[in-house]
Amino acid sequence: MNKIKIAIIGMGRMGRMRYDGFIQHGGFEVISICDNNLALLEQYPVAKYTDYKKCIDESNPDAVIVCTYNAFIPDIVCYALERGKHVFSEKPPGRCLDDVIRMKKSLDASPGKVLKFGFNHRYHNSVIEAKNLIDSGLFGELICARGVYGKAGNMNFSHEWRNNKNYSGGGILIDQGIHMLDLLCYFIGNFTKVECSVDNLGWKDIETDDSAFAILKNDRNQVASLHSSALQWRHKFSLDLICSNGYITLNGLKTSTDSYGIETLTYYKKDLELRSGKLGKPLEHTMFFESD
Amino acid sequence: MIRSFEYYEYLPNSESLRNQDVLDSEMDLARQAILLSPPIGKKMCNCVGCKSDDLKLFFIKWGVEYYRCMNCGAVCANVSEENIEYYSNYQPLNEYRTSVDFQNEISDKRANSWSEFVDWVYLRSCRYLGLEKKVRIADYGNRYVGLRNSISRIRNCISYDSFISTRESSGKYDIAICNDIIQRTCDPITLVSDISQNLNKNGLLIMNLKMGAGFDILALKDKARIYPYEHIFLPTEKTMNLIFRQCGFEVLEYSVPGQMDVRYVLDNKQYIQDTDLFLKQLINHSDSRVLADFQYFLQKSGMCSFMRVVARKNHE
Repeated sequence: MNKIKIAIIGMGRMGRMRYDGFIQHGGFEVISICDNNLALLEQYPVAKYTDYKKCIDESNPDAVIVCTYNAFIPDIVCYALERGKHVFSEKPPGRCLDDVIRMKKSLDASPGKVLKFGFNHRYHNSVIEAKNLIDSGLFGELICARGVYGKAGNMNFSHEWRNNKNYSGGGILIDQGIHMLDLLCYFIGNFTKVECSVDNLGWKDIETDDSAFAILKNDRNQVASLHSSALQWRHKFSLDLICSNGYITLNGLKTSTDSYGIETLTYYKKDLELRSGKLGKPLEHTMFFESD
Repeated sequence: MIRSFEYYEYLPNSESLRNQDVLDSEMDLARQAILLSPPIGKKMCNCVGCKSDDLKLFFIKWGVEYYRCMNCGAVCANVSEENIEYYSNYQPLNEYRTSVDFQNEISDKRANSWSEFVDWVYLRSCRYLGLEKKVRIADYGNRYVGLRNSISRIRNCISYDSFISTRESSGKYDIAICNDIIQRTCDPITLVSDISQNLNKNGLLIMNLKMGAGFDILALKDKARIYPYEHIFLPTEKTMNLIFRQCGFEVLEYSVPGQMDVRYVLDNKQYIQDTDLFLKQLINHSDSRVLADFQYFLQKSGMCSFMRVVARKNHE
């Protein structure tokens, strides 16, 4: 089988991680890489570019991987699609609605091409299990959800590119909260009403938001709340899914450092007859996930 | 691989899953069968799970030697196929176990845990075989009519067959359920291989296991709720991983549904040895909240005497 030819634009942390992933997989051939910092390219035995247009045009890959700052994503995605390439880009899919619409137009004008964004949380084991539990029907209808995704921050937080509005386009909501938003859409479907508060409440020396609170509703009257925070002072991930016949809660995320805590999923079925013998303490089932 | 456990808050007065009178009657009949069965003429040389010859005598119960494997931690009784055959065909015990009174008693006590088990099997089926998959289930060694009825009604089950022994079955199944059956064999590798013959590729083997390294067994030894020849092979996770690998299975998850370890030890605390100072302190001087936390710790750590495993058949 022919290997899929890949060009990676942006060789920062994510670009290098993607490069290693493609090599490890074996079904891909990274033929070119691009970054305006040549030092980042030196160690790789493939064609090197500092201009993404040249990289795409000259190396002619099957697919382009976009791992740049948020500000450059729409231009590169549109250019690659217009040149007939499949595209995978890191999230977010744009900094604003205009970016999204622009990329959607380019995709629509490129029949047969695939555009995907890196919403990898759907592939965490706890999320896969939760989706299975809900789709199994044992827990009845999903009524509402409550997601919290928080970051500890660090000494250098104010100076990170993520908090430079020119590069990122937004703060914690567009950086980390967007993963939780994706999961809420994954479990509940698209929302039609949104009320939210997106503010800078604590990190006064950054120009982007550090806190987002949102209440989302859809036409079936399912409700979700989202709290995305850079003021958690520790890493935190939790998602509660409340169903008509039971409850599912996800806590922690499997990462290389386990800084979000051990990834677990706990579920229990509604027990109004107190079969477990104690009010408010139904039999729980908890799963631990040791692999990513 | 996934690890999971079930948990509800420990209640000092919570009922056991077995009526003590029923358990005593069953054990009396089992003891009769042991006394009448042929003498054991051989010395045990190897662990029946990992085949290591590094065995140490663990305890003797009703004249039957139990050895602990120093390699994998399994506990194995020194028995022969002849002994097992005699025990499994011992009429008074079989009649007692199939009696209406026995079955009703068990069904009453275990209705909730069976309901949880059936839901769990359905969820694991959806997870590993797909939401739309209709499954054929083979159920091995299940003595309980109520549980057989419950399993046969799993919502995606299109065919259910119950077998006394793994050698009886033929045909191909998507799921094989083996509740407390490996504990009754002295040849677990052949048992798992026999099951494999009747499983479709990617089929699931779901086993309930009495574990040799469980808290109550290590704490109470011969006074734990194990007896010959009902419990003759008590593996550990290491043993089972070896057996599954040898028989072409991939372990997908270990689950700990056992909730009674602390309760069993508490009920038999007079048998804790005087040299087990930590255990004596814990059991004699802890309040119910500490014991609940300890039970939680055992379950979370996979150190209970009862485990479930889901393994997938990888190749024919």
